[in-house]
Amino acid sequence: MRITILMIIALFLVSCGPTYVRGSEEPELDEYAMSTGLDKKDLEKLLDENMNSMMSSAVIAEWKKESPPPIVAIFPIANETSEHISNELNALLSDIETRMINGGVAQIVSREKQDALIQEVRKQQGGAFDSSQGAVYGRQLGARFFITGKVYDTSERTEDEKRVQYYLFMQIIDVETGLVRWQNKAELTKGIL
Amino acid sequence: MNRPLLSFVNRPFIRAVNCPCIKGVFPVLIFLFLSGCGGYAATAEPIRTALSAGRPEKGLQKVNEALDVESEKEVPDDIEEETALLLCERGTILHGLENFDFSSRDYELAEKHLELLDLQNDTAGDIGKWLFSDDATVYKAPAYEKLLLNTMNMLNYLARSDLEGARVEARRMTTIQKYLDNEESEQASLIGLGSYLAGFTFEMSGRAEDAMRYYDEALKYDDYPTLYLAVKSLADQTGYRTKRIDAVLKKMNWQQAPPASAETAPESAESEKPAKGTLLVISETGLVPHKEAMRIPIGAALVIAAHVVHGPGLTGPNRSKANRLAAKGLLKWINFPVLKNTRHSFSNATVGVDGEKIHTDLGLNVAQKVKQAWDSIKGTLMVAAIVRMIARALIAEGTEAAGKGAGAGGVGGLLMGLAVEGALTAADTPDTRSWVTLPAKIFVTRAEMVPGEHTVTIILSGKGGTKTITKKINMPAGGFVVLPVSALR
Repeated sequence: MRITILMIIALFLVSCGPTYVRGSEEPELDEYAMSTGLDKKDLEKLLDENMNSMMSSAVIAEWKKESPPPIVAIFPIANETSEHISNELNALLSDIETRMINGGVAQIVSREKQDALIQEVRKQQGGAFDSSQGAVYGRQLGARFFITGKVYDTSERTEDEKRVQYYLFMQIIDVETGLVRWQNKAELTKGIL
Repeated sequence: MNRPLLSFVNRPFIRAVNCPCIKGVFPVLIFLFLSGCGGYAATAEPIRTALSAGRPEKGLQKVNEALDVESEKEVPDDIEEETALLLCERGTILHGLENFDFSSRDYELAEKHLELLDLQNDTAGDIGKWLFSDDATVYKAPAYEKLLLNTMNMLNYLARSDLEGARVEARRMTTIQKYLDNEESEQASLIGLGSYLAGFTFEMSGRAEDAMRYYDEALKYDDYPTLYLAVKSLADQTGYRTKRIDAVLKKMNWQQAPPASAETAPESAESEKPAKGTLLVISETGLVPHKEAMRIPIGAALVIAAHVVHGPGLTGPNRSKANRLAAKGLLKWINFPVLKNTRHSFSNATVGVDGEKIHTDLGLNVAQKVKQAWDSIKGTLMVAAIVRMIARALIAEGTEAAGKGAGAGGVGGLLMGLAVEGALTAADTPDTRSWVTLPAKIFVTRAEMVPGEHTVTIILSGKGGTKTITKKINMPAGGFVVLPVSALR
């Protein structure tokens, strides 16, 4: 009897601790929000919306007619939010790059090459990367166009709720003229209720 | 004159204590009376003591022990409310040890969980506060702690020249400020140093208008002469003006520059010089006052409860009951936190660059903020504590009557009542939770300088004498260096 009680207690204690799981074992794992920051699901939604708009834009239609396709640089997406999401935004850059290359619509400047330039610029400007200077950097990289973006948010809280509304703006800019050739905004909201 | 009382203590009292049914109760009562007041103060005491002795590494070890982790590389598996506060403590110690990466990680984790606690609807805790103990509520960080979490973390990012991270913290601070402005008061939402650092962050990011807006907010909090030159320089880049900005510009004899043209702006030798860089030294001294549990006699408690700043005061019937208990006298104590100054060696800081003394402002008197915050809530907390004491006294009276009925006699019944009341009193843990490793004062020094190597000397002074800290910096052209120097003692 005593052993049975001890086993029940032991089982109860074992089942209380956290357990490592794979997403494939817990299909809901990617579904629920764990913070007000941007997670994989949020980034996919924001990016999908913007990429769908981009791929159906006039400028991409022009690129598709060119042979070889134009050289394009992808610049960091500026984090203008109240959340530390720089790593997530860097992951987004790789996604954009992959989609552009696999779509065969552009030749992409190597990230390593442009990272070195961006770091240099950051150093010169005391840590700030000014994306408005993109045309200058684009020329240095030999690119005809560059893709960039910004994430903004409106963050508000009350006594028992918090809401963060995110807006991802993306643009394609012509290096020569500085003209914005395409622009789109995708948005989503996260919160604590 | 004292005979009845003495005879009570000497004979029936001792007889009752020797009675087998009561014998075991008395030591338990004394133990509970003396020991039941640990709470967060007991957890934080070894951490605070190590810092007061100038041993931050020891403090780090103690906070790791309290978090049940091997080292600062680990974060605890379970985040509970005390854990979140302990992460604030560890973040501050790591900041002081110039481990800014880990400090940021701890602050961000702590903020996330403190935010969840803050948003939590704590009905059970609110009821428990009136019945059992202040400690029954979830920890809701006071305004200054919320704002300082972002301020200190902004400093971590600036120390690493990470303007993007610092801007995120500045925006987070603004969100909290707006909330505090709506829910509490403009006074609660202002934190001069936070706005100062946010302004610096945006100034260095080349965003003049945002910078000026934050500097104006800082000037609303206090006068910072170290900001005057920056405000003057920003005035050439933005039209953002307020009466405070105008007052500074008047002091600095600022005049609108004529529009530049190719003819009126010939190349000068000045424009060929490399752009100057900006140094910001943040000197942190001392430790903020901390809370300790104390037993306060009912008479003194009633005086504190009379000064309620927010919320309802003590109701008429409860005041009468409390006065009646105060008149009875015996064992009518309130377990209550009191704010105590933490012993520290240094309270002032001066800064020199390459041997030349630079003007330093008091960026924030954190100790004063802590005192103000405590003064504004202690009356309300005392009202709850008195209501709990009345409830305990009523239960004790019931126990005393039941004891008499069960044959324990008059003194036996009284002792049983006292034992029950003593146990309930001991279980009433005063809420001593607060962020105790914050510096008491934070000083700010700003200087423009030519690019290249410089020697920065920080002299800390106070009751513990003086201590000189020397740092070598390499100022980038047109860039900045932020140097946090911490002496948490």
